[in-house]
Amino acid sequence: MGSWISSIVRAEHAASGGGLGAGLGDLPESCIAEVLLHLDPLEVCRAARLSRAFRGAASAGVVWETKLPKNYAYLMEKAMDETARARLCKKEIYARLCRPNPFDGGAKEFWLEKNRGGICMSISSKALLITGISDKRYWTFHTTEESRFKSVAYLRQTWWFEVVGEVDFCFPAGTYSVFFRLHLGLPSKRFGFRICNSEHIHGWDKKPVKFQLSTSNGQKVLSKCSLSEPGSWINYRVGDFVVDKCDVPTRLKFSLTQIDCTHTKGGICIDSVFIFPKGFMQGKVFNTSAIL
Amino acid sequence: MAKMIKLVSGDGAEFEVEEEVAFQSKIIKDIVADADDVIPLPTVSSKVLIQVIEYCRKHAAVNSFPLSPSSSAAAAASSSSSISYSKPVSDPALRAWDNEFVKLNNSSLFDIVIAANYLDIEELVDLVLETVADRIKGKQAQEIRRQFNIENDFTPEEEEALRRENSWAFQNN
Repeated sequence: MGSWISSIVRAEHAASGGGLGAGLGDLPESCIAEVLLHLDPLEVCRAARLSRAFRGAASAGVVWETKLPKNYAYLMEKAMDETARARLCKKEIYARLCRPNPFDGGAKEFWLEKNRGGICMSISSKALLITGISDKRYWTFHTTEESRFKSVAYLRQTWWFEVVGEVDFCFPAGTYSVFFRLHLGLPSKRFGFRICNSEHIHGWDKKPVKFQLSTSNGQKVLSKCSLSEPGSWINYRVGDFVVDKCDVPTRLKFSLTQIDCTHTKGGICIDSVFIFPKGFMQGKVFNTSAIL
Repeated sequence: MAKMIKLVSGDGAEFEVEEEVAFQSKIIKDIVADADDVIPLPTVSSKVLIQVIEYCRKHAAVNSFPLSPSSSAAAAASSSSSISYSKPVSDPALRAWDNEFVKLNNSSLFDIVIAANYLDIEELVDLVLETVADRIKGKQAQEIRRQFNIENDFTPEEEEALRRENSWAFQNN
């Protein structure tokens, strides 16, 4: 009959001649891996618990390769040293990138949002240039659990309110939103209760604050917003920027200012600047209005 | 007169199909050159073979008159890959037909994908596996095992080790 028949008969498939109750687990592992390609990362991890065949397929590099950002090699370099990088399989790389990864001296961190695989970033107040920060009459740093960096910058009072920051990073292609995380009043805990000290809050109702965002490839946002709602952390959305290519670094500059010297302002906490893929931000968001 | 090829199922039923329909299967395309035009398929039942032929007939008609250069380019590109999946079918009418085609119970789907895998009909394999993925989404493990006939072959130690290994996915950042 020919060698091709014997090669078909030798084939590894679990074909049972039309199959009485063939199960998903009877498929070759390559087919199971292909099913997993269509599932998001958390579902892949859940599916790993179904059976040994699923566990094997769920660890396949080819499954996780499609979930990782295209520039994961660059992100790994930022996140770990060479010895740590060498040992990891694709799934472990994904898991590792999902952890907060400090960079630029540790006052900035990035992480992979585990379910959608987008890059998120937080820049601590310690990495921002705050005018007058070293003058303890005006600015102090406070330890708090309410910040992922465990520390926020608190302003008692100033005429010139200016907070500037920048970051240089190869973001995966996409659209990102930039936020300043701010709090009117100083939060603290006493006897297990959350307290907000509002004695220094003043000046924010006189004029709005201005936000700026610019990228190295010429994108610019200029906006304003009146700060309000003491006692809550608010993520003020400055605006968006677009990244076309993940292998080209984007240098981002952003600032928050209120330098109208006809009035003082104070009683504000600056936690950090967040950069999230557009639509990811979970906390309370206030949008700013574009200044044209 | 189109060249005909005879396919013989595992339970002995014979199906005569046009060559271009049979050639949706890469295996058949490669072997017809050697043998005469009768191809026994001992591991495929007639019930499944009928369904596979139906798919191939529909897709052969479309593939021979591609809508646009890009759809045939996509087909060519996908045929050279191993475990990646082919690009989604671009013709909305064909996609709608595919979606109707896979409205089958899980058991039938598995039979089809096993046969399609064996016959190397990549687009059919991809279609079924994508359908399976959609049916798994959002379900708990117990439910998936029940619906899809999956045996839990882990030891308790293995289950515990797996829970620890994947704990990163279920922790809050």
